[in-house]
Amino acid sequence: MGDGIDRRALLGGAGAGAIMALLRDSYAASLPPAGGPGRAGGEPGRPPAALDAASTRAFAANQTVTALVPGRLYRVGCVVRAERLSWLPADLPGGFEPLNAYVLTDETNCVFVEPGMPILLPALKSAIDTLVGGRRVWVNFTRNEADCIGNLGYVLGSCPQPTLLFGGAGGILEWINDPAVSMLEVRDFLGRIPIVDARNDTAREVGALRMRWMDAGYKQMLITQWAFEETTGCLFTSDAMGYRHLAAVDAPPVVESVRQLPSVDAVAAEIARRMNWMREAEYPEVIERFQRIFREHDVRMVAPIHGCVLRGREVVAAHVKLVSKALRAASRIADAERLRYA
Amino acid sequence: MPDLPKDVIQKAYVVRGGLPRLVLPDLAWVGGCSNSAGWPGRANVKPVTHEPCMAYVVLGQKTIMFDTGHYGLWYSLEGQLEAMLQGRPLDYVFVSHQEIPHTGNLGRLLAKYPRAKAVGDVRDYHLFHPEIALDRLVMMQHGDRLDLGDREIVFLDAIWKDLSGTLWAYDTKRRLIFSADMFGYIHLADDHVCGTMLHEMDEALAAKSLERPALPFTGMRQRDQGARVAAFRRLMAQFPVEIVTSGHTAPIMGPRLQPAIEQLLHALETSPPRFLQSDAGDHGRDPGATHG
Repeated sequence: MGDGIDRRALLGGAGAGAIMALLRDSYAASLPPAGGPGRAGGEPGRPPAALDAASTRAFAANQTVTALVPGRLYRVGCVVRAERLSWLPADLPGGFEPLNAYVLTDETNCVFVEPGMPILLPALKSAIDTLVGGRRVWVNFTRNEADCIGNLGYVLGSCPQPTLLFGGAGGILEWINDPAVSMLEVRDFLGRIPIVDARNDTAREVGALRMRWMDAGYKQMLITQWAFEETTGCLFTSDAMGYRHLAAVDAPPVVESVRQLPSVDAVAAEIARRMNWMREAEYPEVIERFQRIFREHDVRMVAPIHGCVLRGREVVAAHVKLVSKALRAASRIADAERLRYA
Repeated sequence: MPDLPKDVIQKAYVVRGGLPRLVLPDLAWVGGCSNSAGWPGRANVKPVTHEPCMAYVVLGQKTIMFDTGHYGLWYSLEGQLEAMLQGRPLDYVFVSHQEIPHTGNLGRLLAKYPRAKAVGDVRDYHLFHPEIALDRLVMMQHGDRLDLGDREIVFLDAIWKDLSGTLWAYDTKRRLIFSADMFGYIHLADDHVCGTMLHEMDEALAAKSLERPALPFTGMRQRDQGARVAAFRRLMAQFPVEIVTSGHTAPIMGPRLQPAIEQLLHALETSPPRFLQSDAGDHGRDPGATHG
């Protein structure tokens, strides 16, 4: 190639032309083109507009705010094609993936749990516009990765007097001290934005909301928390448990049935994509811990940062059983790095 | 035991806390240390711990930057980069993995250098940087090569990775490996070793510096590290290493390179860190853990 790039593996095996054709055929990218005027990402619940054929931007559709528990819990997110995603073992042709952020509310408080990926910012803006009002704003995230805190700067910078509910490591605050990247609303937020402790195995009442934080049931990154809100029974599981995907761009991103569960092997492959250390590893204590979290909490909903929300005790129980089996199966997946340099 | 490269540029100025440094005529070291201490809720006040958050620029016929540093570094990194490039364009940005201290400034870099392309396992980046045109995110896999004119950069599957998709980069001319999170070291502020390479320290300080590896990899005790160390030795046989760099270390080269590698590999084989919070306690932190 003229520019020195070997593109034989471009886009995970798919040709660039094929990807671009998909983009041209797809729905609206949600963010404005560089230097151009803002293009609406769509009102909540309304179908997206068609994508400009000349666009080279990423695909995102259905930027929506969905009530999971009216007046109390909302999913804020969008849908992308299930391709070029590191957590999937392979692209899912014709498949789609929900990307999620969440907002908890009561009469006087509004808690953003996972500000989410920048590509879902249009939905997040809608959530800020429609849900904050005069409420006090809190922000909580499960891990300090771009998929969870990509919009942290926007929330901190655009909401009045936000408070950070933080359970991570102090050094990480220095990394994200200027989290807005292209949006410089909150440069140097340390010392200006209150930070309230939300360590593992602690609980806090935020108005009528009852939050509890714990070490993640299973994880890839060391400092990953899960959060449980008792009144909704919602467990926020970060980058875990998002193993239900969409067959259509406008399919509901909430699973309420135990039918058509994915196979144990399929879920194990997805777990191993995220938690790469589990391949060829032995971790009975992790599986026990994962199951114990569900024994000790009345979980009626599981809210991951990607993949469908799982709603209902029966649905949650079926997925806990499935994931338990898949965690064991992930241990039997070959360790590619070990074999790579044979 | 290898000697230092003949054209290595010894410390040109006092760099306590200060970068950039032109380490070799074709290798610039940029970035800075972050405070890695300050755990919320801890009863004891810990001494300030420096976590190097580094990036490197290879100044070949074309230029490539290895990682980007975290958001908070940008306001010093931008000037450092300009000083090291001396008006040259930045052609490529290698993104080792998606973690913020490694690639948080990708969007800013591609905006500043509009002809630059990101190379690496670029899955997911369109979700984090929807402002970047997709054709500027170029997918690389294990074994792929990038021609810089006077050398190639070979992309290698990382043997130890935190986020999936982590790649390492190998410079065929300098025999330099950029190992993302591997070979990272933290130090105390009182050590005064910011911006200092191992071979520039006295023996006691160098030994002390190697006692605090940063190995932020989950589940190290849950699987066989011996097999992975063996894989790393096979990698070095295939790609001889004379300079080690990473996102969390100063360049390691010269007579202290091989002992440093062996010390770390031995530690991994004999006493890998316990990084699962569920079995580590005390917020899951071992002394060598830095982030994650």
